[in-house]
Parts: sequence; C-alpha cells; structure tokens
Amino acid sequence: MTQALEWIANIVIVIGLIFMALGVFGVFRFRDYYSRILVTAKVDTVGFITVMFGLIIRHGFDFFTGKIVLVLALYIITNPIATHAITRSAHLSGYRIKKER
Amino acid sequence: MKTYMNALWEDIVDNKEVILLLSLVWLILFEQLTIGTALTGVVMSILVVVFTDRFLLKGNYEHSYMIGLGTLVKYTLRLFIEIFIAGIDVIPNIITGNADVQIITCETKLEDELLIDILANSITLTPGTVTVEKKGSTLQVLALSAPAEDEDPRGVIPLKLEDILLRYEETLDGKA
Amino acid sequence: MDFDSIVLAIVAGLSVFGLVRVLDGPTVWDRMLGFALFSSKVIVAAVMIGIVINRTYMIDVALIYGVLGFIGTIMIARFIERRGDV
Repeated sequence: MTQALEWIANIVIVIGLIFMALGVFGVFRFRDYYSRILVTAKVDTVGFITVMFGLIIRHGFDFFTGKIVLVLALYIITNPIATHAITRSAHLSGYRIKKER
Repeated sequence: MKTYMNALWEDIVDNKEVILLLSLVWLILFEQLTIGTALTGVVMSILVVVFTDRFLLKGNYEHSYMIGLGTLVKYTLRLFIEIFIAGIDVIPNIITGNADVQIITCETKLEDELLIDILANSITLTPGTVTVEKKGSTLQVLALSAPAEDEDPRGVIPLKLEDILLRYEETLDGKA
Repeated sequence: MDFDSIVLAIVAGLSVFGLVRVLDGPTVWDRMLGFALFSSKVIVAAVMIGIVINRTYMIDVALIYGVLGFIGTIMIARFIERRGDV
C-alpha cells in the first residue's frame, strides 16, 4: 500500500517537473513581454502546485505536511499579487500591444 | 468596563473560525501539540484578531473578512480544478509559439471590495489570464485566447468561482 | 542516487535558465519575470533539500525566502511605476 502511494507521489512530482520545464521553455519561446508573462509564469505556478501536492501525498499526515501546506498557501496568496504588480507597472509605464478594447 | 468586555466577547464569537485557523498555523510552526502551545496559540490568535479590528484597520471591514471555513474549502478546491484545466489548455500555445494577446474590459457582479480582490487574484492565478487594473467593479484583463468581437467579454472570468463568491455575498448583506 | 536528489538537481538546473533571462532580458519587466521564476525554483529546492537531509528547518527557510522575494518584487515594481519615487 505505502509502496503504491509512493509511486503515485513520484509520478505526480514528475508531472510537476514537466510543467516547470515547459514554463522555462516558454520564457525563451515568445518574443514580447505580455505573452511571456501570460503563458510562462502561470504554467510555472501550476508546476509548483503539482510538485507540492506530490510531496504532500508522499508524506502523509504529520507536521512536515502542515509546513508544506503553509508554504503552498503563502505562495498562492503572494504570487498573483507580485505578477499583478509587475504587469501593472509595465502597463502604466507605457508598454503597449496593438489590440485593446 | 462591563460593556467593553461584552464587545470583546462578541468580537471573539464573530471571528471564531479565523481564530481557529490562526491557532492551527501557530501549532504547525511549533511542531508539537501540548497544552501549553495550544493555550498560547489561542491567546495569541485572539490578540491578533482583536488588535487588528480595533487599531490597524481604518475603515469598517469587520464583517468582510469572516469567510467561513466551508466556503474557503469549497473555493480552494474549485480554484485548483480551474488552475489545472487552464494549465493543460495553455500547453499547445507554448509548443507552437503563437500568442494573440488582448486587453479586455469586463464587469463583475460582485460589489464587496475584498471579494472583488479575491476574484481578481484568482483570475491572475489561472494560466492564460492576468488582471491588469481594477476600478470599482470594472476589471481590465489581459487574455490569451480572447472571446471574439461579438461575444460576451465576461467569458474570461471563471464563472463558477464568481458564483461561489456571489452566494457568499448574499449572506454577507444580512449581517453587515 | 535516489529520486529526491535527481529532482533537486533538475530544479537547480532549471533555476539557472531563470537567471539567464534576468541577465538577457530586453526590458526591465523581463528581468523581474526572470527573478520571480528563479525565486519559485529556490523555494522548491529548499523544500527538496529539507527532504533529502531529513530536517524540517529548511521549510522555514523556504517560507522566509518566499516572503522576502515577494517584498522585493513589490518594491522594485513600485519603484519603476513611479519613476524613482518609492
């Protein structure tokens, strides 16, 4: 039983690593800033959440898991605020794209 | 003195779910569960809540951050599902490398400031959409696969998340 | 070499690419995006180190790094938005 759980956790972690690698690949794929932040940074967030889920599944229910949940909660609260601050600063400083409505 | 104690007690009863959550965080950071840590955790949480209500907040926010535990759990689960669906949707765009980025102006039905902020942060957290600016109920959203010219611009908002928040806002109006 | 060490090595390798974006970015916002990418990788790496050496205090390091990286990003964004006046 524990063996099967560990295999499931490892597969989830590998999926998270694939998401992270896609995010890093996307940073070098796109040409302008807005498409980079739309696609890339957010796929990186999906990878982060998936890796943390894998670690939670592996460890079961103890204080270590609680601390990982704390890290996850902090990241989910602060990450959109940071992204929003960067994008807003780019928008206010006059970085434009062609289409807007 | 007596009325002051009554007001304090009402504060504690109103915020009991927030106090429970903060005590749990305290216990996790201590990494041990004894009577001493539990007691100090509850006392510190009550102090944090009361001081925040009385001295730190300038406006009248007392009723807006009491999101119930049930709503919080339901919202978080739905948020994770939306994040994963959107993340898988975005993968073909990364591999082929074509992006058609637009800024779209749309309105939410929510009216409470804190709930609009939570919705804007959720929009930023889902891949493919980033909130650029918020003014009242109007949000400017930077979207990857935008709805066409003649469609409803509200398609960029995750509508199920908005539904949960709307249902919560209705119960809020009776209390405030 | 077990599974956790391999994951740690991959995450460390990915974080280098975030730093490449910081050095290479055409605009200043690209540099900030690269920094956000790098800091998320560092948080994962700190948690993985905590698992490999089997101690819990590395997760506290990850928490503090998250808070400090957040404050740094916000402050730089405000600095650029107001053109030098924090």
